[in-house]
Amino acid sequence: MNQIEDNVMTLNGDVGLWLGGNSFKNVYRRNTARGNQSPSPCAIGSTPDFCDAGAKNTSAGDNFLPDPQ
Amino acid sequence: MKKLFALALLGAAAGTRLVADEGRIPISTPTTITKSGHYIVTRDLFINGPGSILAIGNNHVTIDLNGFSLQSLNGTDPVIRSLGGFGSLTIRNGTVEGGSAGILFPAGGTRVVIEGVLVTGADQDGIRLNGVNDFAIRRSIISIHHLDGIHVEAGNGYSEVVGTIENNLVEDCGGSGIEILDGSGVGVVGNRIRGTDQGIALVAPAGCLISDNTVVAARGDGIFIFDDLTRGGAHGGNRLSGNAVSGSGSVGIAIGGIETGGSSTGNFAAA
Repeated sequence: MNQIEDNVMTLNGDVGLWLGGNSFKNVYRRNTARGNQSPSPCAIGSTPDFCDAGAKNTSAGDNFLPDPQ
Repeated sequence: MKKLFALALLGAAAGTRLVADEGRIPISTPTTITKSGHYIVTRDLFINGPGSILAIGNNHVTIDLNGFSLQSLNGTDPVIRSLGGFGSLTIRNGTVEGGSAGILFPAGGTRVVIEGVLVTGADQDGIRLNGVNDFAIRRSIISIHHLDGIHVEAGNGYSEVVGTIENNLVEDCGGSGIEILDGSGVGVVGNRIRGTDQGIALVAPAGCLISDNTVVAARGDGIFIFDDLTRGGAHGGNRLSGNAVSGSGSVGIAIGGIETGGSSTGNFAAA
């Protein structure tokens, strides 16, 4: 149950923002991830810039986490 | 003649008064400090054998490095160390080079301040605090260490540690730039980190603020927050805001994996 906001993640060798399988009820908003390079999808719907493999993590939909895989 | 003698006396008195007024005790050789007080280093100090250059053995000690350098070629002892769980200790304003660690508090303590120090070239961690509460590490440069730049962890009881790490430059470390185990209410704010393994690693943190840090070219994850099965801790209630992570070898910001390796870095397995 963490709050993750206003962070910028660029050009990393794996996912920009990764919410792992043990993450739970985090809130993430206004984050920007661009140009990251996930070598493989970590969860359904994940992208090279973002992966949510946890449970009940929520966003208001105001992140910039593009590049669908 | 009388006038000259009077002037000489005045000069001597003024010199004495300068030290007495400021209440500072000069250090010009490797020293074990056993009394409380405000100490000031008056020359560069060097050691090439066993032991630390400065060992702190009491509470309420302030050490002003006075812009001088403490250098140790001894890779088995830290350059500066606390000899026990002492409190109200301040180290500031100088260079600490070499040693097993630059600055080591191995067994507890409270109200420890490290500020304005260049810590470089340690065989292990640059700054390591074990079981120290109410600490502040700020405005320092921590560079070129074989393990972590700054390593903070709770004591043997896995209790929590509280403190702040702010406005430091941490670079070129074999381990994490900043690693904190069991932090509770720790602030990691405004640091610049480059060329480390993990940039900022927090294991089982609670109520911590990780804000406005810049992590560049970490070899592993830029910032990660993990649970720790070994230590029985879970993370929660932390706030990460305004951080910029770029060019890491692995994940930019990773939340919610599981640490299985205790205090080591990088030995995690994502669930």
